[in-house]
Amino acid sequence: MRIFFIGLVLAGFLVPSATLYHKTQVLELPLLPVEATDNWSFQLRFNHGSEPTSAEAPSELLIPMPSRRTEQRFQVNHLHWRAERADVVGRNGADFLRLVPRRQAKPGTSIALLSGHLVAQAARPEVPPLGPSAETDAAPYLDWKTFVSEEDREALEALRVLLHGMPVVREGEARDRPSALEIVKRYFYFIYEEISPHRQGETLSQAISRRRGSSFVRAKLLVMLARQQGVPARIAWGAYLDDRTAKSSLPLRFAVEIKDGAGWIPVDPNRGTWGTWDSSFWVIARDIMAQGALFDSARINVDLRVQARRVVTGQGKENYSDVLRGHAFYRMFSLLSLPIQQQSYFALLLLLPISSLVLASLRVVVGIPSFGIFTPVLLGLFFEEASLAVGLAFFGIVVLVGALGRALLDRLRLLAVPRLAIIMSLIILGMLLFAVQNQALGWVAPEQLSFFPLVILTVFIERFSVTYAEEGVFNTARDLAGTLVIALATFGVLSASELKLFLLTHPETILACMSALLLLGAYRGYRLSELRRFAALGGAPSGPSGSVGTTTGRSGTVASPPPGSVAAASEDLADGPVNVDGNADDEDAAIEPGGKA
Amino acid sequence: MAAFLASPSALRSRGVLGINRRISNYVQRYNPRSLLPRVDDKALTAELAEAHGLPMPRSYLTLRFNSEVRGLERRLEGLPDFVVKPASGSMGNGIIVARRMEQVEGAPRFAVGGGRVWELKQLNYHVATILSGLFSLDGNQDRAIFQERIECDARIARLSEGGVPDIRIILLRGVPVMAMLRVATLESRGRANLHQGAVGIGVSLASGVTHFAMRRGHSLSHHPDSGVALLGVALPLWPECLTLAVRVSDALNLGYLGVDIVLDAKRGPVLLEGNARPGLAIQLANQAGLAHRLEAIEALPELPMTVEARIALAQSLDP
Repeated sequence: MRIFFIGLVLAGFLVPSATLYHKTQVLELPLLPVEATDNWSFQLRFNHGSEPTSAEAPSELLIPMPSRRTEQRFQVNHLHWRAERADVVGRNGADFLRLVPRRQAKPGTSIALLSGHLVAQAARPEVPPLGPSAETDAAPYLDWKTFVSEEDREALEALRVLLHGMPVVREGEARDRPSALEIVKRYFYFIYEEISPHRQGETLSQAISRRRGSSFVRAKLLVMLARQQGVPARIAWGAYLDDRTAKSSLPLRFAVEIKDGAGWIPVDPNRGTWGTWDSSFWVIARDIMAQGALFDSARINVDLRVQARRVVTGQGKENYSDVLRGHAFYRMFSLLSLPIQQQSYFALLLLLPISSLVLASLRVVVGIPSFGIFTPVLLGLFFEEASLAVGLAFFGIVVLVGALGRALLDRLRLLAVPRLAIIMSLIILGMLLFAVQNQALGWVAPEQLSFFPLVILTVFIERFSVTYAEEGVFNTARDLAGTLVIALATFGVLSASELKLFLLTHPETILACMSALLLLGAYRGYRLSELRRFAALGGAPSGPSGSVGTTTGRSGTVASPPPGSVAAASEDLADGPVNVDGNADDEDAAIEPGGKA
Repeated sequence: MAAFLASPSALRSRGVLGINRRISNYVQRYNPRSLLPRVDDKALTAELAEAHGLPMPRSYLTLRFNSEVRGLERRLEGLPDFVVKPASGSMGNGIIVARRMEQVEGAPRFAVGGGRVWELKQLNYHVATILSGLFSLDGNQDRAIFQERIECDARIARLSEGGVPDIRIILLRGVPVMAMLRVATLESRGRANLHQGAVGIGVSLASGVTHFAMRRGHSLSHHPDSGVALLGVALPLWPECLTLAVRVSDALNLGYLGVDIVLDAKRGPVLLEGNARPGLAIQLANQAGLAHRLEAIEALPELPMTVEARIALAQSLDP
């Protein structure tokens, strides 16, 4: 039996310890999921390919800088490259960074070129710049021949024929030829619907023939097709902040801006929006085509990769649950996958065993008396729901009203159940008046009055009144104080939001709580209150009384002190008379159902 | 000199029994749940006592239903005094000792202790409250028992004020362990319950002489109301009291038991009730811990069978 008990207790502590160890050390999750702020760090990685087709590595590179509105700071890895702010101030607000190699850039070296931080508020899609400067700078956005190989050119031509070379104009209809913009729009829908996104980057011709392509190729295709039609177009690149395809780093995505008159129209073949950006799309920079085909790996064999990484010191709830869901064991009881409303409900439920642990400790180890066993916990729950000040005030008023009502009802000599019902009605009436007055005067937020342990309070008032009548002011005040102390302790537990989050994340911790309760249940020592209660027995040294007779000494010196010392002893105790019989007689009877039940 | 707090080791060396240990090592170990109704239900206690020929206060009537309250006046007719108690009550709550007074304008009036006077409707209300289960251990519907009011032996009645003193004897496995006399005060309103302000007086098992008294944790030597000396009083019929306690323990078959006895002027020791979870204040009244004595009894390989031998054993534990 003892082994069974110890095993049970150990298991209760070991299981959560093991899972916590596994989660933090093996899965490398933080102890608590942190509410992820939309704070992103990003890196632009410049990958110098290992097999350059051109003999020489570039002597300088112009890297588009994320616009300053989204940046907080930038750092350049100074190991291999020296950064100079380019004089070539970017078109339409985009800055460029001129990078000069420090020494001969070796093939295969991969360098983090830029890193920075982005706060979500700044990630709102930028309004495309307008104005005369945009107008005058339109010419470079028409160049397509530079970027299209011979093979690609054929494919583009074939596509052009396919899509509008045989215009869909019915006989007899005197229709104008579609405007260039309309044709571009047609291209756009073709790319969005017919060329499916694919991870790997391909050439334009491959994308057309295989009907699939990377985000970059799809955007480039649209830009080239637009420019062929004489419509200025450019690539806008960035990332979707709500992108869930990657765990923590966001893939770089390429979209298109098309010039229509004075302004640039956002066109997104990834999400299929025309005229607007997806609200989560963060445009890092624009127009990379102009910069010596940085992305054209066929030509200079460099690969610019942009990684945006969500800055989380911990991991957000969603992320946390994603990781846990990958494990069949955790999937069984991971609460993080539940809807938010249920989550908060279960968080509260999970706190109740902890509150009960506190309650049990206060009763079994400290020995605090209270009205009812779980009444204080429910009161604590109410305080948590309503805020402490409101809860306490409301509780005080209700108890006062209830007790007064009870005293009045006492004269009417009613039977118990109707009497209880009347007291409950009185409390409800009081709540009603309070709520109406509160609406008018705005003492507290209305939702703070949502939950109230009505029935519990009714029984509480009944017990309170009976205790008052039967055992006097002192015992009543003592039990009331005890009830409030436990309620406040419970409130403390319930309002610890970290604890709530911890239990929600690691519900298996409840096993440890149960183990602690097992230990508490097996506690055989004195209660703190008993050290006070039996203080008079702790002072005088004495042999094991009773087992061996102390003859007449008992009545003389130890047990029956002369009147003088009796007076002294009572004086000693005078400042706080202990509860003589306390709940001793029936403490456990109150918890456990009676024998008849 | 008593400190504000006793150290646990000091209490342990004095053998003071705490609530936690009492519950697990004695109440739970020696009192199987199935037997608890024998003490929690006073009607059942009375049945068992009668079957074993143990003296108890005579039971006049038992009420179960509110409808019976109406006829109460007629059924109480001719009874000069009586005690009303909830069958499943605890800690003496709900017990009223009523003595019929001169009628005023034909309406019966009762002195109910603590100087209070009740009219019939107040009594009816109290009975209805009992029936509703307010005082019962489990909060369920209860019964109200009307019992004979004990005419207490004058030799110890004088120690009490406004109520009958009773003798509490705690037994383990049929062996008395400790005893105390409880006398009512004005504050306790005639009831002999310590938490209601009654005085607990330690009684030596061997001699039946009172040797220490305390009330609400304060030691005292004289009754707070009457000033009667409480110490050094030899309880009459002490061996008979112990014998009754041992026999009650045998009849109820509860291993850890508190037996409450009153001394009737004519019948001698009478069983009032048993308690399967007797309180721990008896240790304060005796200025001695229960634990060492309980352990001594538990350590015995074999318990004496006869009542006399067990009393002798008890008296050797508390000379």
